[in-house]
Amino acid sequence: MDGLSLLEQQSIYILREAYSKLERLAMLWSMGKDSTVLLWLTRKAFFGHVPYPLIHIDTSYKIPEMIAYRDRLARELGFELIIGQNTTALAEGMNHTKGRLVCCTALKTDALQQVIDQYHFSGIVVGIRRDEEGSRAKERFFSQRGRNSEWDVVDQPPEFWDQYRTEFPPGEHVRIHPLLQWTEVDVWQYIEREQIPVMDLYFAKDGKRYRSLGCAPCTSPCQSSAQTVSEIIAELLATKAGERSGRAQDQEHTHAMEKLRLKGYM
Amino acid sequence: MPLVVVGHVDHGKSTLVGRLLSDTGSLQDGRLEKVRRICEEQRKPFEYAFLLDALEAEQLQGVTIDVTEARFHWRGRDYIIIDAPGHKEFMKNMITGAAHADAALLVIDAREGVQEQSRRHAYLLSFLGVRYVAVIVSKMDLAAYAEDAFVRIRDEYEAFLASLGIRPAAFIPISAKDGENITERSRRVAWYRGPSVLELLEHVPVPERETSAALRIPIQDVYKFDDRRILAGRIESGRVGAGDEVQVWPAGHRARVRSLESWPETSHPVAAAETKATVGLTLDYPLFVQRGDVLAKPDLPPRTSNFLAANVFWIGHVPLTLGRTYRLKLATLERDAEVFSITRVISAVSLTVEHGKTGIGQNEAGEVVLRSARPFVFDVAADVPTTGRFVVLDGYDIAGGGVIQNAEELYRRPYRHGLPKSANISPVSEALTPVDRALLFGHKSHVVWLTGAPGAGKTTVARYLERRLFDQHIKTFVIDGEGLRFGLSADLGFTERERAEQTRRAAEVARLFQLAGLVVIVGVVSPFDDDREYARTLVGEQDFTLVHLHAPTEVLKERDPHGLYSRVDQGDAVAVPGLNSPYEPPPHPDLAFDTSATSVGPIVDQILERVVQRIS
Repeated sequence: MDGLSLLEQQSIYILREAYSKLERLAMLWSMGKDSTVLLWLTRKAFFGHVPYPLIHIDTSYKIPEMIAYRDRLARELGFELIIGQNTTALAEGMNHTKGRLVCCTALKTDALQQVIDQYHFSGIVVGIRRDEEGSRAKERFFSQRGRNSEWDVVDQPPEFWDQYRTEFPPGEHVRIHPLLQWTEVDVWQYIEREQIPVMDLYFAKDGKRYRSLGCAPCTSPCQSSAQTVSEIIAELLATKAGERSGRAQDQEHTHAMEKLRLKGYM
Repeated sequence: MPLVVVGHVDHGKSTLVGRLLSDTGSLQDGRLEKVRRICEEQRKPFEYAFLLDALEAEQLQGVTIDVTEARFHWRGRDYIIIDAPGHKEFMKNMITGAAHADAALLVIDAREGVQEQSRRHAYLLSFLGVRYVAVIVSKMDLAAYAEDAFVRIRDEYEAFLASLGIRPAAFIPISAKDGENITERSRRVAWYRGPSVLELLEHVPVPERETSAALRIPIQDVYKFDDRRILAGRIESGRVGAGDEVQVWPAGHRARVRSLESWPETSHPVAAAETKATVGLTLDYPLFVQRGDVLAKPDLPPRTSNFLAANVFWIGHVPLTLGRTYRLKLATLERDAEVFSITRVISAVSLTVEHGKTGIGQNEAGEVVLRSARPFVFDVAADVPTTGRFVVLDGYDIAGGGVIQNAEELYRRPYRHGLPKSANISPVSEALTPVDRALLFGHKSHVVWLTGAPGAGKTTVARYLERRLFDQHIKTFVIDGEGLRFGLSADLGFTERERAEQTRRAAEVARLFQLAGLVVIVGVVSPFDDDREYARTLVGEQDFTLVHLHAPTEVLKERDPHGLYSRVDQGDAVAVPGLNSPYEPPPHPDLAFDTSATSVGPIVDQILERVVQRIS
């Protein structure tokens, strides 16, 4: 079995473990490449079915094409879609000019927490990967979260021999990370191998393309001429620029991501 | 190739990993600059370790807390490098990292030498089965690149590793800070002739995936999303194809694989799948299957037993305690199990062994026996590693890992009269095997079990058979029911329950003599079929001959060797099986004789023929 197949099989195993062990499970879906691969793996794991709802956290600042793509796919595949939005914060005028970390926490972390509370979810599948940034590199496949989604990074449970922590006190939940071991290149190579459709925003237009998708004000495209998946792969194998270099919130502070994630950010 | 870096705290593991990532050009733009900025903020010299120790708490304390993984590519090969913490407090994180490594670098500080965690981590590598190990003697710059510092560590550590069965591929003196012996061979250690770290890594053999022929699919779930009933699971060992006959354990029911389901649908249906594949099977017969069951092919079935004998490593804060019940997870099976005995406790640092302990403390190891009210389905780890290990939960957390050992005596014991009442008993491994004894005696062992009502001729046949065997120089011994009642069974009377117990004791004693290599002849009434079948499973089908001796009641009354029949006639309250209390004739005896019709000579000839065939 080649490396990509091993990653795929491991991810499917994790998804099935989560579905079997967690009573109320949902998956975060941002329409990005990682989410798209996760949705594909879900359909593989469950033989064409999507047996849990997908959650989109809508900050209202997303790139407009993303929302159109979201609604079209939900219609076509017929899965249950939950849209989470921190309407209170938006009504009070929350935006990135109030501080990017403040804005991310209010519109993403808090919005997700509201959905978890409302639906009593005990497990949320999230498409993060170790190679994205330092605090994600330290994650577990099944990562426990406290009542308010807080992450106790200095005291994580052990995880080995494919045995995951799937039991925890009521009120807490677990984040499941099936793509943790994948790299950005793995994701694209898998998209190419499986011929998975992805959003047009990833392909170069006028010498620029998005490498990572987020909110319009805080996400900038990178220089690129890659117009096909295989051109993207070739470009990634040659570059040394960081995947999230176009994401402004990462640059706010030395430990910006860690600080966001300790409070429950994905 | 997943590769873990382990060793004592502050011996330079993260620095080595950071240096490897940097020197192989694996860092994204800005990573080094970011670390430089952090170090300036903290007024520290540049720390390669901060490339891995990304957490704020790790950088402030200068210590790795949690395991990190990074991938790098070097000369045509992909590596996953796992940086494990060396602090004793974070042992659980070290195991999390090391458990999926194929190779390990053990890092030792040239000045501090072999320390507690250097030893404990080595023990864990051997426990986890990481076979490829190299030792990195770090911070050689601080030891003036002196050969004697290196040699001292090598000699001490090599001996310790040897006692764990680890033969390191190399000892490499390095300085991660100065970049000596990382990519190229260092000129500052001219006395050293071996490879640099990266040269070594290029030659780490890809471990052969231990693909046992035995098919094992622990069931994860059963899906009914549509009209298909799909059994989902991962192939932990072997391969499976459509049409294969499989058994579902622990029940042992059989069916054939109808199809291997997949999505997206392709024009060619999947015909077969190999180890590590997550499959979805449909069967040709609607067996009841649930999570935790194991699918196997009939030729190589897994073991089932209420007992597990295992090597356990404990990471829980509260010690593993004798008599306590814990939840075990073995592949997809979950069972509550009691710590039935703690055979020995091993210090992972000094390797000293202690007996008679009632607990295994944090970061210690030991051999234990666990028992459960319902059977486990498992393999011995040496046969099939992935179904031969389990984790132990204490509350919600994984508090230990166990590797299942071979304990034949324990596993073959059926579940007949409940479980042993005594706590803290353990199977003793044998130094001499049945083969050794058979070679010395010139024959294998066997049990001839004579059953029949009182007066049927058990004692006569037993004595005659014993003499014939003895004359042929076959080591033999008779266990007579009447004889047992003077000693071992002196506390037993003749109720049904007591007769069953008498039979059980005869079976256990026969088993001991059988283990000693003898041909054992048992003559006991043994009125109940369940008890005789217990004896058969205890001894083993191949080594057991059940002989039913019978005669008409008039003949029995006439023989009346112990005066039982006449006492009944006189009105005494004595229970005689076959007369006024139950005697179940064996439905499938290996041999059966009417002792009123055939004389003892021909009977023994026939028994002898069968026995001699089996023991030679």
